[in-house]
Amino acid sequence: MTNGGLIQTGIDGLDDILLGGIPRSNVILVQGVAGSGKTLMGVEFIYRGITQFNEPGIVVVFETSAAKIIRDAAGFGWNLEELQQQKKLQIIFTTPEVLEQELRSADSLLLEIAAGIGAQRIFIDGLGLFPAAAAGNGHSPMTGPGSYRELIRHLIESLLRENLTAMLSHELSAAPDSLVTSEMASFIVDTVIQLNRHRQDRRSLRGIEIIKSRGHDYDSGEHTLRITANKGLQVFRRVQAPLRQKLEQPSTTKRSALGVDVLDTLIGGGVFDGSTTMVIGISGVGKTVLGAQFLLEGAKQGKRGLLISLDEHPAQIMRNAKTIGLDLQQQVDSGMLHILFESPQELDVDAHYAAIIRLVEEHGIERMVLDGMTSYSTALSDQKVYRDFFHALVGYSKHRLLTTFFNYENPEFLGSSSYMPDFPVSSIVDNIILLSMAELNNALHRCLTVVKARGSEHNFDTREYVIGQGGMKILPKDENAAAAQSFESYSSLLSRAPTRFGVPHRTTRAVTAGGNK
Amino acid sequence: MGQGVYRKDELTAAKELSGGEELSRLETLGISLLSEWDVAIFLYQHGSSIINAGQIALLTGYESKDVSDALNRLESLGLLKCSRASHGVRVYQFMVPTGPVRRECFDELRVLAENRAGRLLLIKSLRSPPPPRRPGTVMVPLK
Repeated sequence: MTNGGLIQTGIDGLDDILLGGIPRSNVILVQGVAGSGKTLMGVEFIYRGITQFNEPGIVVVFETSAAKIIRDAAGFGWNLEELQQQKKLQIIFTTPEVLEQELRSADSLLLEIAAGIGAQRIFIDGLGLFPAAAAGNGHSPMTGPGSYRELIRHLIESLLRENLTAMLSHELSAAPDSLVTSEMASFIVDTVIQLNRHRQDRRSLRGIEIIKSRGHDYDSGEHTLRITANKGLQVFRRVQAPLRQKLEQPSTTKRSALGVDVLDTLIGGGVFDGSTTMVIGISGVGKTVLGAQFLLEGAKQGKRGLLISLDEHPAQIMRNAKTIGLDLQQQVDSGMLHILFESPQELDVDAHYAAIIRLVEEHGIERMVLDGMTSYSTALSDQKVYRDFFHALVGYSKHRLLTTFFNYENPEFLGSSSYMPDFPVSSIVDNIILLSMAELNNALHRCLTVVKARGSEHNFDTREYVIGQGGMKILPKDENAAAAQSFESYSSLLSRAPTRFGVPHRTTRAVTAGGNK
Repeated sequence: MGQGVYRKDELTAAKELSGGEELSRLETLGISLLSEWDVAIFLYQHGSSIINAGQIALLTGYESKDVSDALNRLESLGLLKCSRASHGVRVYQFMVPTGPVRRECFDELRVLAENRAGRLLLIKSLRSPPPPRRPGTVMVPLK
């Protein structure tokens, strides 16, 4: 019911951005354009109050009917008719004039009904209709005695006197009166929630913003709002919102194997738990295979994994992995591996991010592979949002000590002039593994280079690998050293024109800042 | 769909209740005036209303007196529960008939009235309240 003096709305995600709820005596104004979800928010506020917090409630409507409210609520799986029969809910149709008069009178019928069911919450749908009520009193509708402002103040005082937590809705429109009354109401009430609708290209997006809320802190900015069938409203915190966890970032010296033997050696003895690794390479080079091996190795170590893909459906991912002997299905069945697939079409980044966080938290995920970043680039037309999403995910991974692989599709087929030409975030990640193609004697070879491994004594050698049964295998370094196609016989493998030495090349080691000797 | 053009299923529903059946159902309920039916449906859709006859009249398009009469009639038929009066308004709560026969009659008529063809059947079966007499007008019998 209460949480430190806060009243919870019960609306999915809303209490989260309200940092727990709204101070109990606050009067809440929900404003928005037509179709933004105001009535739904009010009805859900009442419904959740009854069903989750045992707080009976009243819905007051002026322009719609109880029959329609009940019908629409049924679409979300809420049986309001039953709640009315149980005397936990009462939907009342009236006029603003009558309501105003009702709240003034000592023998109010409305308050009698409220007391009869023990109402603790009330939703009044259509505050914008009150100026007409004020004008009906023969006064100026906006100022002075009997004005709109006075009427709203009186309404609020009456509701507080009855210990009713009130949510009021106000329609926003371009009409000057609407703007004035909405602004006036915003000044008077304690909490203002604004619901928005935007057009982005050809899609319609809903947003929610806490404009003000007296007596407590909340997540500012515009968050994503969704109306979901059989569920109701869902609020998704914007990915740009800073992490709420303590500022100190946890750290560990524990390293874990990646699942590709030689790679563990190349990177300096596995990766640190909680590190972020960017795997860069052109399509078909084996990024997804490496990611699958990383997750399977994690499962072997008892670490639950999450594979996120915008490109391939789980069934296809598991089928392809199985062809090279990587049994993801078994790990999915045992609950050690979870696969999150979402279509990149009209991807809602806040909701997607929330889904990732929920999976990580619910299943205690310790390893995560995001396969791959390029699809996000195309799905999220706004590069800033794409970057914010990535930063948020890296930040979250660090705080959660989640070991994460991000697969990035490099557009360069042969040779690499830059790691991530269209998304320069390589400085953020801890490790970079470059998967490349090299053309030797008219044949393509896959090669791997660890180009960055923070805090690790890693090896800069470019090594050839093959993909077959069991996944990625790095070929032994000295095998066929004298052969014409041995990597040991070439220099400039990462350029577009590898050159043959004739004698094996020396091994190059690197120690990065803070690394082992 | 243009005016006067009805969907096949609407016509079928209307035909099913034609031949005086809708009249017998109205008689079972005790409703004889169109205003009574319209006020009943208004209150049914709104569940509980804190309102007065004048406001219902504005929303339904009848004269206040017709609505008052209809409210009284519905209450006497057990289809309406009224609270005490407070500053000229009451809580009106439509009472869905509890007996199986009356309940069935009400439900069938309600569904029938949801489309234009059914509504026309009801209009034919029910008397309209007499039109209001405007001051200064003289009723001249038609020859």
